[in-house]
Amino acid sequence: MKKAFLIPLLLLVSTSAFAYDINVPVTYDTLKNGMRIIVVPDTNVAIVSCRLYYFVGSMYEQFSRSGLSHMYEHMMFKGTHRLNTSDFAKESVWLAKIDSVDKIIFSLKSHGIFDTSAQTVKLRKEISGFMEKERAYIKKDEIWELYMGNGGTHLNAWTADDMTAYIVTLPKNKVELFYWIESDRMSNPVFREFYSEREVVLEERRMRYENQPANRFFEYLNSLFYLAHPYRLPTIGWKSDIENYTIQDLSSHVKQFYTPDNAVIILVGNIDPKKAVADIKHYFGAIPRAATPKQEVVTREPQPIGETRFTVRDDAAPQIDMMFHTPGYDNDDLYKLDVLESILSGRSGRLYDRLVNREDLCTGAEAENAVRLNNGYFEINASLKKDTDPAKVEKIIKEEIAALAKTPPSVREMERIKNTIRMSFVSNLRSLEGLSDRLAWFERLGSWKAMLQYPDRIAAIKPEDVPAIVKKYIDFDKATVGVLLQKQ
Amino acid sequence: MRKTTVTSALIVAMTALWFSATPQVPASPSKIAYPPLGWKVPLGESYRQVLDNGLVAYIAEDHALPYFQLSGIVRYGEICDPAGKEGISSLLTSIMRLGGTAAYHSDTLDAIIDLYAMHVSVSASDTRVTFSCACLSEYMDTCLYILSQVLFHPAFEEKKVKKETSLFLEAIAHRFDNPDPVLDAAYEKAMYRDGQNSLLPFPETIGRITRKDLVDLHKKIFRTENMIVAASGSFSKRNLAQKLAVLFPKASAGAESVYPEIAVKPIAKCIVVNKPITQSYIRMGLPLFKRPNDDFYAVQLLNTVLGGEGFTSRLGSKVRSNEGLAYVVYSSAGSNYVYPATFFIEFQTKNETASRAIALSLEEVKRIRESGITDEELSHAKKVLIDGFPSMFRSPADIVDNYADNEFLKRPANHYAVYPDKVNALTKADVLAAAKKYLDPANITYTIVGDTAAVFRADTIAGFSLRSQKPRVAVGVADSLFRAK
Repeated sequence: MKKAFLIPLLLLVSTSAFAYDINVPVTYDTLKNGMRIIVVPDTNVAIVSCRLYYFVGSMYEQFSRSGLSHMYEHMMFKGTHRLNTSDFAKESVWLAKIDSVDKIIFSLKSHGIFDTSAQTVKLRKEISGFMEKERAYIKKDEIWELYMGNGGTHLNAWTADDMTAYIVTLPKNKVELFYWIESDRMSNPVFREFYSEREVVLEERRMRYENQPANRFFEYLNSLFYLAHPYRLPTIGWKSDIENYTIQDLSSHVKQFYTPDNAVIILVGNIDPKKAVADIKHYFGAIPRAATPKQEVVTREPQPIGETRFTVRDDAAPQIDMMFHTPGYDNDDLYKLDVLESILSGRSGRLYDRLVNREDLCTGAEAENAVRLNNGYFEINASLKKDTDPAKVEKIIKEEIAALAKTPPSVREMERIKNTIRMSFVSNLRSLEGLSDRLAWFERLGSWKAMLQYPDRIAAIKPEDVPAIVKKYIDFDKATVGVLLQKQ
Repeated sequence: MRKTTVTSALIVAMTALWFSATPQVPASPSKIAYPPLGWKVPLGESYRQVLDNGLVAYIAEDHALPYFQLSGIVRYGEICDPAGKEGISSLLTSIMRLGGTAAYHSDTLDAIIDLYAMHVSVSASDTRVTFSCACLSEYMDTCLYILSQVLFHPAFEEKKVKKETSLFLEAIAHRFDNPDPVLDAAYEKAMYRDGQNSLLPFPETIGRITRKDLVDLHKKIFRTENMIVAASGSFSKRNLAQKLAVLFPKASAGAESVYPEIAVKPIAKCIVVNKPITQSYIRMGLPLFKRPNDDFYAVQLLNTVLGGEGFTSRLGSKVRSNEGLAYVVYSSAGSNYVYPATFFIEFQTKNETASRAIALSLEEVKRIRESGITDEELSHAKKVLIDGFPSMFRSPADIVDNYADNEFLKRPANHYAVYPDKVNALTKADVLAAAKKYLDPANITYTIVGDTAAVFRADTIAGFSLRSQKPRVAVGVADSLFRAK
């Protein structure tokens, strides 16, 4: 059962793996409606990073509706009953008309009649006519204007597979504006200018994927890597899905996921935690939970039964990318895979040293351990020189992995990794916004506290742990391999 | 039963009391009563030192975290590269970091930097060369020593010169894979013709660069009197100043680097570069000025209203929000102290709507030039330019970095302190005058990267026709346009 009252919890946590103490004074709270609050005060600055994270993203989407979380990332700026409108009562008349036509389009779509059909085109024309009438009552981009006119910086929003964030950094005396706007957006969203914004998202997709060869390659590769899990859906959505979104689709998505019990507010900067918690309760406390609790994704990737290989010729720098399945969070092996990533990466890492420095075959090479909630991946990437044979690079990568499967890394390599983790930890604390995102990410995975425990968990790994982890996860017979070659 | 009733009544009474004692949420954001900020722009003077060796340094102690960072600016840039050897400053800076030093072989240097998780870098842009280092504060002495080795004692190992040159050539081969860099290059060429800022490195210009050229250039520009540094972190200010005075050579009477004269000289009214993509990348450019210039702040306000401020700007409303024609649409008023900048409008839209989006943008240019801006727009634009200052000066590192940059640009020491007054003094008439002076649609140069056939097929939109601009069509990124001098 959820706790039904406020439980203020002040935690001054210092990391123990370091030779020095770093206090991260975190205040953590949960409102009655399930909304979580994390506050980290820093009186050295005159600003506060204000971020509202919803634990929703493309992993909660389905075929035909991929990218809806991202679409809503855009639509959240279109206002509420009180924002972006000069007279909501009058505007509602036209919104209702748009809504009724949208319902017909939604119904046609469910019968396989798409947005390009003559019938739907006619209905969309009707919507455009209503839209023109509604426009008389729209106060353009008032939310953006309010934030920017009050010293807002870093104003934006972003969507990932498991999280969507609405972000702004404000002068320390203007934080109440964030509570006002975000509580209103959570309670009373209005889907204004839906159809024109759908076009904007299509332009974004063209810009980010269709016309960026390397991004297009990775989008396809990711979808080949995940066989069953919705991680295979691109966060921005497939083009045909975007083209057929309706207001009805978005509305049901929003009702399900954009509720206080699926959100965390994180404030980092010059702010009194006690007052912040009281103010957040005041603004958000009455917003109800979702009518139906969020359904978590139960699908897990099946064990691959063989190699998947994908070769593309495009106008792009040639590269080879190898992906291996890893467990979801939390699992001790993930920390060991982070160590493996560090051994292979960096200018003095094994991949760069061999492929770039010694063999002169590549322009870069690195590894990444991508930790995800349900199923992650370990990736090895090498950028090839113009005349390099990818098979030769693949062979060398296999040799380097085989060496690590046999012999533990050196003491010096382990020392390097620990220093890298320490440096990274301290660097992350230097940015209010960066710290906020790190806390959110760990909270999403389970608990923000894991962020502080991370250096100790890495420090506990011994060189002899590495060969075992390599053997367990880096199986080339079950890898997904993408090869991007220069178009002739 | 009776007890329950009493309890219920009590609860009702307490709840009523709670509601009456709890302040209501303001009816609108304008009703929120904000407390005063109580913050002023910090001044840079107390951080500035001229060290015993003549080095100008802005130094701030910051013991919040066990961290150290230093950055520096050198007066030189890619526009100073000798003719026919374009790319030399980029190559030089990468080899300084990677080609070993007097004290360390290149492999050893990489190993030490990685072992202690340091960051050490040197890089070149068009009007400045920058360097930086950062580390956990316990490794500060080692990090500073390594930086001094990289900056003043690079070894230019033959093998590494060859290696980095070959990697540079690979990068050149793929620099136009994505459309954005093509637009950048084509725009510079369109606006500056043969200005040094529009010249690109090519394999033949890289091929002419010898090791001796690199050694000579390094000697010429990496001089203490030609640079400014900013440092912050957990250290003693006095101690760091002493170290920098020893590790950086003594300043000599050598002159500052001189930048070449560059002017805006459009090459054609319209340039279209063919690239088989689904969108057109478009930039509409106009000549501006070199700073300092009295019109600068009025132009900044003008730009904020027209397209400089994301969604709320006029271009954002019209092209993106109303019509859904672009994801990115904005305008930019360049700020450049070395050569005249330009004012431009940029967006990406599907090839079929290129002319339509240009026509809409032109309408907005004409409208702001004829009618100026409203009181509300002026007030909002001023807030946008001024109220973000607390975020710009958030940490001691920000303060010293901003003031080092300020001195590099030769602006007065009180630049940031007087900035709000300068902006607040401007009127709608000033902004209108700036619009009339700088935003003449007849002077616009159009640069477009996209699928030429699709763009021209749809070039029938009322209000604008690309064909009527008599475009120079470049067949692709291999076109002589990019090589022209």
